[in-house]
Formats: sequence, C-alpha cells, structure tokens
Amino acid sequence: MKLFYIIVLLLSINYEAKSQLDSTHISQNILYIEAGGIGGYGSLNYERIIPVKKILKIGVRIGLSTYNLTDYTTKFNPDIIIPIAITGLYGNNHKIVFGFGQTISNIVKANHSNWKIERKSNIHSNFTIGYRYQKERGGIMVSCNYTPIIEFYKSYRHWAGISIGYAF
Amino acid sequence: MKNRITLFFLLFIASSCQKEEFDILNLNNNQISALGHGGMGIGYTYPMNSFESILNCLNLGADGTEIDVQMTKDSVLVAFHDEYLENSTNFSGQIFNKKWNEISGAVYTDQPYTNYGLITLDEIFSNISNLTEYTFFLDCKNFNPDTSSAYLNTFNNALIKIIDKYNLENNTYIEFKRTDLIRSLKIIRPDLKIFVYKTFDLALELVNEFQLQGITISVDKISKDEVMKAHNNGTMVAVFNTHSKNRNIEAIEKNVDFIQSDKVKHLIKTLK
Repeated sequence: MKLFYIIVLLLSINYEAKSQLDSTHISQNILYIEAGGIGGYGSLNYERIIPVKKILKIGVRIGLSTYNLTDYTTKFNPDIIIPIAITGLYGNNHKIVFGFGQTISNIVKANHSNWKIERKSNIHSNFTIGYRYQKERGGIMVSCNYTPIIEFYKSYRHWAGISIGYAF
Repeated sequence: MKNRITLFFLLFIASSCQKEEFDILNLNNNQISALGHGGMGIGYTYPMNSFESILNCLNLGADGTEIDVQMTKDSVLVAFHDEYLENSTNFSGQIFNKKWNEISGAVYTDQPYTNYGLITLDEIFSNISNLTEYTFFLDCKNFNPDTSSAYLNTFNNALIKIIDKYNLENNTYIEFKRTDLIRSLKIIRPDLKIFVYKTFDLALELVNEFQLQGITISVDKISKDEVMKAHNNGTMVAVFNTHSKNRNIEAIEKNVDFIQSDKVKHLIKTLK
C-alpha cells in the first residue's frame, strides 16, 4: 500500500517537474519485455517516466507475467505475476538504473492438506540496479539489470534480467 | 504463379501437419510407453517429482511416469531427485539423515515466486485416480552408504508396503543401481519387476544373473543394435535423458520399450 501512495505522489509532481525542464520533448512511455528480472522468467511491462531534473528521472513500472497458462489438470487457469517497481534513472542516453518494488504472485498449486487445486497470493520485494540505454526522445530501449528478490519477505534470491522495448 | 505459390504453401502446411509413422518392434506389445521423467521432466515450470509435475504429466495423457525415490531415517519414501536437499529446496542435508517431519515443510526453490512442496510417495499415489491404469518407474536413489542387511530390508520393505497398498505390482517397475538391493528384493519378493541402471554390458549381465525385467539407460548410451540384442535376450529397455524433441525421436527409432522424457508433450503427441 505504501508503494501505491508513493506512485500517486510521484505522478502528482510530474507536471510541476516537467515545466522546470529545458527539454521540449521527453518520451514518457515505454513498453518493453524483460527476460528474467522481477517478473520471474520474463514479463511484459509498461513504464511511465516522470522527469525530475534534466539528468534524473523516475520510472513507475507495472508488468505482467506467468509460468503456466493451464494448471496441472490441464484446465485454463493461469499463474499471474505482477511486478511493480519505482526506478531512478540517472543519465542522458546512457542511464544508471536503481529501484525497488513489490511483486504480486498468484500461483495455482496443490493444497497439501486436502490435495485440491488452489490459488495462493503472495507479495515479494524486488530490487533493481543496472544499466539502460534509452534516448530521451524515444526509440529503442535496452537494459541489463541485477534484480534480487526477497521471496515471501523471507529468502533472498540472486536474479537478473535483460530488457528490450520501445520508448514513445 | 500466385496459384502455384498457394499450392506449394498448402502442401508445405499439410506435410508439416502429417504425423510421423514409426514401425515399432519391441517387447512392450510393439508399443512404446510415453512416460514422464519425474513428471514433466527437467527444466519444466513444475519441479521434478512435485505433485503438480506428476499430475500434469498424467493429465496430459502420458502412459505413466518415472518417480525418484529416497527413504528418510524413519522409513518414509519421498519423491526427490538430488542427493542434497539444498540443491533444489530451501532445506539442507540428505534425506536418509532426516525424519519426514523434519523435512515435510521443504519447498522447491527452482524458480522465483513459487513454493511447490516436497512430497511422499504415499501422498502421490493416494491422490491419483485410476492408479492401476498408469505405468510407474520407481527410480531408487540410495545415497545412504549403508550396506547392512537391516538397511536393505528396511528400504525394500518400504517399497513393498507401498506397492501392495495400492496394488501396483503389475504396473510398477523398480529401478536399482545397487546390486545388493536387487539381490535383497529378489529374495523377499521375486515377483516384483526390476530394472537395473548400469552400462549396457554390465546391465545385461545382471539381468541374466538375477532374472530381471529390463535395463534403464541413457538414450545416448545405447544403440539400436544393443536394444535389439536386449530384446533378443527377453530384456526390456527404458531410456531417459530424452531432453529434446530430437532425443525423443532418436529413442523411438531405437525401438525401446519405455521412454522417460523431459519433453512429455512432444512425446505424447508423437506416439499417440
């Protein structure tokens, strides 16, 4: 919930910040796919860029991922993984990326008490540090990140991801 | 010209959709049983030997599955592949040094955000309907270095107990690497079907010595001629390490009797 308030706050300062920048046009939307990363094995993501200073921007990201579209009984019953994160982007075309967020997982599995199929929702913490190439005026975006995850708020997992997408 | 291209395209599509035919000649009623390797196999989104992986494999239409079996200190048979729990779960140590209640909370850590749990053989079999319609290979992973007759008897009695409990003697094959366990089980229950997992020549010697049903071997360690040699000896052949579609085809072309595949969907589609 804290993350939600932070996102709302960041979006609300967006317009004020924009007016202070010299740049006449900054691409503020990015659609990208990430292999690995905070979505697990891979995810489809949307990111909104919020300019803070000329060299510093904030990205608010939400994604969607899955492991299986059907459950183990072969019925359509997809796992749902939603990575959400706030990232700081420092630099012009070549940027340093650093961020944190939460990943919501909704996984279909067997209940080990009654052996019936069930959906289990959990929240996990994610972190990002890495490199991104993205021109201010849009176009291709590529990035490479170290994305450790604290699963179930308990166990630390080393993880990484690479992304490619388009800024517009 | 346009019509020719369309015709060529349609012919190409039709030939792609055509199912490959195989002339199968083996000791399994000239059919190859399509089995999973620990369920859906290595590299699938469900961990090998998890309840989800095994059930998914059977629900997709496989003839059965191989399951890795280890025994805890208190004689509970657990479905697990690795020697050390830390290799793929959030627990550590070796299963034979633990009691079941010490490790029953272990979850697989192969991929982020999931927590599929460790499971006993009893829990698997008690939750599969039409159990006797499937073929099971119980791959006994005896990492316990104990060679005493007490250990051999305890392990084999645990196997017998579960096979008898679920009436699985006709559709279950026990896979052993260790000769002492084969000898011990042959004395207690000579009717149970045993496969030996060794190099081809050694396996065939053991088959003849102990009157075993078959050999289990990696698909790349046996030739078509050797499969025929085994069949001429009255010995069935099960192969594993079929971790690609090409390996599935290679195994089929060798006329083996059972394929324990890591590409289950492809194998089912090819054979059925």
